[in-house]
Amino acid sequence: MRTEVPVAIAVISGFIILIAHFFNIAPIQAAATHLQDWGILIAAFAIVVSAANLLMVHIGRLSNQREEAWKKVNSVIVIGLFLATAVTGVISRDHHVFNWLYDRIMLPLGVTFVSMNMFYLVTAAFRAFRAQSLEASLLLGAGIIVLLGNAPVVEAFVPWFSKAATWVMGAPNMAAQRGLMIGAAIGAVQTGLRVICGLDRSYL
Amino acid sequence: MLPEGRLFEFLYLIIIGFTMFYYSNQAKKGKVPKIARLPALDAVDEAVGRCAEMGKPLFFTVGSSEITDASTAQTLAGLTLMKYVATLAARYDVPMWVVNRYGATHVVAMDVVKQGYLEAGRPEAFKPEQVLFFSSEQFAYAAGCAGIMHREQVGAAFMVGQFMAEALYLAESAAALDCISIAGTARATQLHFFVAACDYTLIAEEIFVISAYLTQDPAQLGMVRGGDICKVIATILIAVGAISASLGSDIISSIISK
Repeated sequence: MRTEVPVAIAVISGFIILIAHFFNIAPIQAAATHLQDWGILIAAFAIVVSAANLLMVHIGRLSNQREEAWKKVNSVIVIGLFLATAVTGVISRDHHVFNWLYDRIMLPLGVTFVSMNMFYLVTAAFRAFRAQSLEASLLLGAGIIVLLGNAPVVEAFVPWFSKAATWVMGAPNMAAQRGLMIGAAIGAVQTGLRVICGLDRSYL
Repeated sequence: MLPEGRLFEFLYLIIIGFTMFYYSNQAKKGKVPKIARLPALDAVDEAVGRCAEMGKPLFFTVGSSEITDASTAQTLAGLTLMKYVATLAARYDVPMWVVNRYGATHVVAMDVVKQGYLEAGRPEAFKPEQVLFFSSEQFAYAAGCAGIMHREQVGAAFMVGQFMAEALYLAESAAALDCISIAGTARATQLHFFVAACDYTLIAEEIFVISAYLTQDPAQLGMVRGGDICKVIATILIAVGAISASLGSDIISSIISK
């Protein structure tokens, strides 16, 4: 029963949404709209469960005698900021404390992380571009062409580099990307059909 | 009856469904297709075994995958591998850290890991506090993942599902620890980061055969063959479309848009 009931719900819901996508039948359309609304509600409740999990983990850490001190300090900060954001956000979405927490902490930290990606890009490229095999050599060659083709100083002296870079991005790169996208799309449709038909239960 | 522009979509869905079930039945009758080796999936047991030998935990995330939007298929693929890894982790007594970005995915992941421990016969070893939710903010989640990897000094990192700009950050965090990293996504814009930074990568459609590959179930292997036939049909349509468009005919585009 533990598996059969969720599978039955998935099968019925999936078929209703699928039929509503293709056929304009009023009762099915209404049922599909209700199901999608329920999905949004369930996801909203799941956030509450997840937030409770976050609090439980950190409260558990504070009450654990053997836990290291710095982890306890970290938990106090997390719980404090969590409660401050949640309470002020519930009072008003325009609360000055809520806005301050978002603008002065959340946003700068997010931007910092995006910026750090550049450094990671360099280290990843350094490892990937080592010409140890034919494939890696081709990657290195394509990488050099695209890098130099996008550098204004190179374009000023060697104009064909820019055209070569455009060709690499527009022809072999785009062809490979579209091949991947078509394969992935068909794979995703198949996964959907397997789940809707109740044939794939490996995630349960 | 069908809204405009949905006829071809509907017919192609029927073709996909028909080929899936036809080859699945053929496989059940004994004509089981062979599937290409996937080094990334072959390395899963080795990665968990390495963690057991070194006494290190492992890390798993399905990335920015939701279960209520278009990324659901990738989420399910990631959760399938998560369950398999959880079973191995329970069997070899390897602590497993799971970090999720979205609430709904977190709830399902919690149940998937629990089920994995149950199937391994060690439900008492499951620790709910090791299946974590930090934030649905993209880089807060990414920072949480990297923090867990570094603090716990993980021996293997699994990243399978839909990933966005955090893909490179997570892959490089795993590489910095010198742990075995196994990644996979169907998102073409992030795939190259995984290929460059991870030890093993499941490329695009490969993540959708995880279940068939790991279970070697004939019915599921048959479905994979059905999918390949559909890809051949798509390729033929593209080739015919390209040739006919070059000759000034829009026959294929007019069929597809019906």
